[in-house]
Order: sequence, then C-alpha cells, then structure tokens
Amino acid sequence: MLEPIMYEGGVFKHNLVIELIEDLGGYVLQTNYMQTEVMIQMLCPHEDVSMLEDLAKELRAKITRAPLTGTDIIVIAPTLSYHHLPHHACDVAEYMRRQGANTTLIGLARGVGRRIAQISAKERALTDEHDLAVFTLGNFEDCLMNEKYVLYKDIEVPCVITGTPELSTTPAYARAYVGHLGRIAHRLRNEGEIGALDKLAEVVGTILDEQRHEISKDPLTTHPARIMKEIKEQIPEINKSLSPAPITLQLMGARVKLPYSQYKEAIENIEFEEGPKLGEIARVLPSGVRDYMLIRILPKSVTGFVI
Amino acid sequence: MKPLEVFKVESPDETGAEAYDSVIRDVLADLELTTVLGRLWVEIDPAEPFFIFCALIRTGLPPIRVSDVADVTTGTPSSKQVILELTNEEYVPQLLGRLRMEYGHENIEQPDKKTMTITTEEMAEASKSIADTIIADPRREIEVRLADALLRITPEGFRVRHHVSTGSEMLFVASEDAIQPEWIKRAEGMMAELKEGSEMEVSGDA
Repeated sequence: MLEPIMYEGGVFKHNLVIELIEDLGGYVLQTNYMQTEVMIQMLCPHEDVSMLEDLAKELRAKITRAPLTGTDIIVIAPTLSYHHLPHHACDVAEYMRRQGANTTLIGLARGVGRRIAQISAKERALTDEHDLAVFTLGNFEDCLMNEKYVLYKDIEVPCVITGTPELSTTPAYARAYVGHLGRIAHRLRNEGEIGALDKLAEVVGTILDEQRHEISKDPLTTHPARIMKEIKEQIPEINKSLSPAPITLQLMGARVKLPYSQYKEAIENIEFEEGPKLGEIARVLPSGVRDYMLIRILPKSVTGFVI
Repeated sequence: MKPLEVFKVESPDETGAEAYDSVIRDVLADLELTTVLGRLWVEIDPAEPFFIFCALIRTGLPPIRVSDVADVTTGTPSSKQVILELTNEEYVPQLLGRLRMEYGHENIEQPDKKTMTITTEEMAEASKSIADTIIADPRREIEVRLADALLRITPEGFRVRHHVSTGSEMLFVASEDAIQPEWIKRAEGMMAELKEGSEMEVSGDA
C-alpha cells in the first residue's frame, strides 16, 4: 500500500528525500521548485513513512498526507465568462492542487441558464477521462435541484457539485454536494469560505478513497506510478515537455503529454523487467486534451497477473 | 440622495438573495459604481424565471469643459495665439485630441508641460469657444460602466432582455424565456416605488 505524501521544505539536501523514496520502493510524482523552497509529491510505502518523517525532521521540512496526490480532477464552470471565473472556480481548482491533485479547469460552451443548459458529447468525453468532476454551480436551490442535473447525469465519473445553499439532500445524479461555494465575485478568503474549500477537499478525498477501494477489489496489473517511472526511463523525450506535469497520474492510468500520433507505438513497446510490454497490460488511447495520450491499465481479471 | 441609501435584493430563495447581495456589492465595488447609484432594488425569481434590476442614478456630474482644466488667455495680437495654462493634467490626452481635430495638428504646440498654444486668426472667438469645448463626459463613462455591471450581475443564462434607461434611472428585466408583460409592469411598479421614496425625501428636506 502506497501512501500519498507531500513534502515541503528547503532545496538544501532535498535529493536525500528523493533517494530515500526510491530506495524504499516508492515513487516521486512531481517536484516543484519555488526559489529556495521545494515541494515534492510522492508515494511512499505505508510501513516506511516513519523513516521519511525522521529525515524530514532532520531537514526541518514538513510532510503531510495528501489524499488527492496522483489524481486527476476536472473542475467545470458553466462558462468561461466573468460570471463564473476567476473567483470560485479557479479557487476551487487551486485549493485541490495544493492538496496534491492535478486539476484541469474548463468552462462549458452552453452550460448556463436553467432550461437552456447543456453539455456537448465532446465535453462529456473529456470529463470522463478524469478521476472525478467538480461542477461549480450557483446560488439558487431550485436550479441546483431541478434543472442543472442535465449537465452531469450522463457522466460516468463521480460528480461533486458546489453551490451556495445548504441542501438536505444531494441533487440527483451527483455523488456529493458541498454548500457555501456558489457564485462569488471576490477571492475566497473569509473564514467560512476557506472552511467550505476544506470540506470540498475532504469530500473529494473520501470519494477518491472509495474509488481506490473499488479498484483494489480487482487490482490493476501495475501501479500507475510504475508506468510513469518506466516512461521517464525509456522515453527520454518526455523530459523535453514544458508542461509542469508531463505525466499526469490517474487512479486507473495516466495522461501522457506526448503526441499520440508519434508516440503510440513507442509507449506500447515499453518493456517491464518482469517480461510484459505496456501494450499487453494497458490500452493506449488518444486523449481529448490536445494530441495527448491516455493510458488505461487493465485489471488483473483481464491480464491474469499483477507485476 | 445618498450613495446606495436603498439597497434591496429580494427573492423567494432567501439564501440565493443573500448571495446575490454579495455579488452585486462586489461588482459595484470593482467597477467603482458604489457612489454612483442612489437606490437599488433587485428582484430575482428563479422559478419564473426573471431578473429585475431597478436603480436610481445619482446626478450631479457635469461634463468637463476646457475652462475646468485650463486657464484660457489670448497672446499678443501679433502672435495670433490662444494660450492654455493647464491646471489639471488628467484630461490632457482628450484635450489634445479635440484641439488637433478642430485647429489642425500643425497649429497646436506644447512649449512646456503645462502650456499649450493654438495658432489661429480668430483669437478672441477661438478663446471663447475653446473655453466652452466639452472634452470629457463622466456621465457617459458611468453609463458604460453601469451597462458592464448589469451584464456581470445578471444571471448569464438570462439572455432575453428589456431595458429602459434615462439619465437618472435604469430599469432592466432579463429572463431566459420571452419577457412577460407582467414582469415589465412589476419592474415599473418597483421603479415608481423607488422614485416615490426620493420625492418624499425632497419634500421632507424642504
């Protein structure tokens, strides 16, 4: 069992942390340098977390459990206009990013209004590529309960809805609802607003843990982080990508920011030391985001083994 | 009329009304319109659905003339020049644009930062007309900002709109369905009530 951990400390000697994680059989997912500070997202074997804690103490750094690490969340606003952005939707996306998630923020083309609200097939397919969707909706209970469900009723991934009122029941087709996060035209910084963001992060964390539990019933042939490591070692071009997260981990695979048309075969031919090639244990699909590719790892019930 | 002496946001959904109150205050503050509006009454019914916005605008912002930003004098008769000594530099770009359009680029000079000279045959007449020229109209800018604020405040899906705007009042009805005549009547009633308040205040002051 790998524990998602976030390390925040100075750049000085931080390579010791990376070496320790690699020695323990964990994975470093992302390293962000901010002048003299560094933030490392990693997966550490559960039984060895204490070793990491000791090292962090020695280096005067802080480590926290970040349940959203290694997940890919999409935040969806009804449109990209100033009615919904930048406050609220961007703050929600940024807050989850700080908890370790990779977030994508989109505005729907025609998501506004009540009777006229709609989502296109392309937008729906894009949403289904992620682990979870957060819809940042508005102020009125009537809209939330009776009208806006058309946006997420056909989406397969769990949907979390945010809005202003406190609802006694979760709107139909949604997995969860978080209140006090409706249409707001200022930055979320007041006590109640930060509290609502914390609640959202907690709700999203719980749903993702449930998803992980669901996946563990029929485990994936390999861990997505293992695929990330092999891609980094066997396809050096990935290091030339300017994206902050060239490989975005998901619960069931990863999104690789390399052109699908050029690299599909190279990715499928990645070899694992246990023998199989990546093409045998995962499906490589085109992603809806630019020309990127999506890797979906097959479960044990399909391949018959776990590596 | 004091700034925002009446500020009402009403809706059958009270939580929604409170949230809208906050959105409207934020938008008005962002666009520096808080002191421009005297009375504001917004009503939103998501079930109908309609959005009504009635506002009384505080008047008293005259257009800016050249004489407000500069002392206009005439030079010596032989120089054939009108001289502007600037007292306020805020509107110089508009002033220069206006003068160049009127008297030609080659006839306008700025020997130093706070002085402008205009060469013209009709010195006396020109100095008078220049002094009266309107170079900026804050009212117009406010109208533009107010229209922007309205579009930001109105629920985005409410794209069918009806508005009546005069110099001192603004009535706006929006919905995602066709506008019903009774909504407009309701808005007119609200506007009348807002204005009634202001008349009472005037008679009270007297």
